[in-house]
Amino acid sequence: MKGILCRLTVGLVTAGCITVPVSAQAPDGVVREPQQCRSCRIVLERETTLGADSGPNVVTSTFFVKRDSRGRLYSVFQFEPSAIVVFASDGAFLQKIGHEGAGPGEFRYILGLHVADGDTLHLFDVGNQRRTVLSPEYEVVRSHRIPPALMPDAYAFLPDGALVVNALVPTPAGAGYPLHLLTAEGDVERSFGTDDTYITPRTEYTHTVRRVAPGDSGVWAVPWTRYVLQLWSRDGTMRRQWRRSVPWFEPYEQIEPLSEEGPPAPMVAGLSVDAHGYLWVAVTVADSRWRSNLRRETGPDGPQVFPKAVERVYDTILEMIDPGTGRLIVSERLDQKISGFVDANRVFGFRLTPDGGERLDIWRLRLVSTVMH
Amino acid sequence: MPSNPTHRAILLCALLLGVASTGGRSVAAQVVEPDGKDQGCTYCLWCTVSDVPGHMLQHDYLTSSKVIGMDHACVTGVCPGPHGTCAPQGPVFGFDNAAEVEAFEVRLAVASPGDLPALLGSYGRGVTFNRERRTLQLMGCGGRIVGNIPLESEQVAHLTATD
Repeated sequence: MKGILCRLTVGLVTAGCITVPVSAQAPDGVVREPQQCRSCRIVLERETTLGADSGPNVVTSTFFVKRDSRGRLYSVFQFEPSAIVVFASDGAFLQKIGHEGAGPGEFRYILGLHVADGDTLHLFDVGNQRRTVLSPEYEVVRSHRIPPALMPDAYAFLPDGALVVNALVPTPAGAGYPLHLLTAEGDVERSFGTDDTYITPRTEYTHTVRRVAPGDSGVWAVPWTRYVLQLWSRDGTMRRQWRRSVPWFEPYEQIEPLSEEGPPAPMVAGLSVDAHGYLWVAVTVADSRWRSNLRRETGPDGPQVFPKAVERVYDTILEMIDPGTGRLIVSERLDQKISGFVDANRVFGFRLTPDGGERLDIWRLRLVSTVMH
Repeated sequence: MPSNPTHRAILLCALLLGVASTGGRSVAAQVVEPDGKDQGCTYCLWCTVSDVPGHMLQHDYLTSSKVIGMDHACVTGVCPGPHGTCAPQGPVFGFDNAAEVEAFEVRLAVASPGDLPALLGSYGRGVTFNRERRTLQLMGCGGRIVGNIPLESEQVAHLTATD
């Protein structure tokens, strides 16, 4: 390494390290290697940590952490899925919003949170089957219906304000489709998102679940179990598809729990589009040390296998792709498990402390070039 | 036979191994009809699978898991905390067991196109032909569509002729 002269924050395209994404050229293809920016590396810098051993800062499992323009962080934890927990940018607990119920400002099971322009919050409460909009001061503004079987943190607001959700919609028109365009009232206007609509009770979850992100002319979606990036327009047509053909991600049919019999299967953990239109994909893969870092525990459903340390069972491959050309810009393997994107510049990850405590780390993404210019 | 090669292969394996046998039960027993007494299907609409205690790897919906029927809570993984989301939902009819859905797939795979109308008729409201989508749709407990099976043109032709 000669030195870091070309230091870039994500989305800040300078110094010719990478080029601005070009417009669509091919509707379908394979993501091209080698990476365009051979000198680039993705570096994570820990920005803050959420969690404590006791008190209101205690954290546990969550599907998302989001950040507003004030730097406030929002999450909903599994042990209390009816309340939004608000943290300051330094990780300090600020307040809880909401409690269990069906009235205004009450929630049952929040599976997604969107920070809109001006720090308006959209809360996807599948328990009450509604999306509640809160002002930046956390006052209820309005609510809309949503499908009851929404997938976690899986929605995209299109440029015209239309909302596309990833959900199981078990109706004659919606069954088998993963994406659903909603009307302003929250009814399903159109279902789409796959050419293969064959589902059964055993397969419908894995078949349906997607990571989604808004694109220029529609919504980007990628199944958790196949590294295939697809751009769908609101009229239900697929505008573009990029397939990633790599030995570390063979597509598979069914999500299975962690097991001693084989390495954990790869899984798309997050999808994001940055300010310049680049796609960012986080893929969880097996750490080479996975087998020796498992432990068995018997729970209410029988024996289960858990990691002793998350980061020794899973790695994350984080990639940046030009959606116009399908060119891989940069790919980085990280010795940690990333759970998803906080925003276009940040990711979050879960970890256990040596004494079993739970923490959520917020990491800032940086592109770093190692070549002298 | 399903048009998807993977599904076709799975069904052929199932046929060879007999894993989805109906076990000699009557076809009528595969579909639960409402009896007016039940409060309804109890769905736990979401559940979690953990890779770390308290840490969600994924979540799941009951009807997408191994059991479709009544009174089941979460069937895969750990369900932490109280689940305020399990509630009676809708009348009880349709397929109440995922194995029965698999049995139907096997029956469908071996049926000739001409046999389809009779096959569907034997399942009552449990299986419907969606003409617009050219699929068979399987109704789960509570009336949810839990299966969607695209058909070949010849199969569609026979069903359309008798629809």
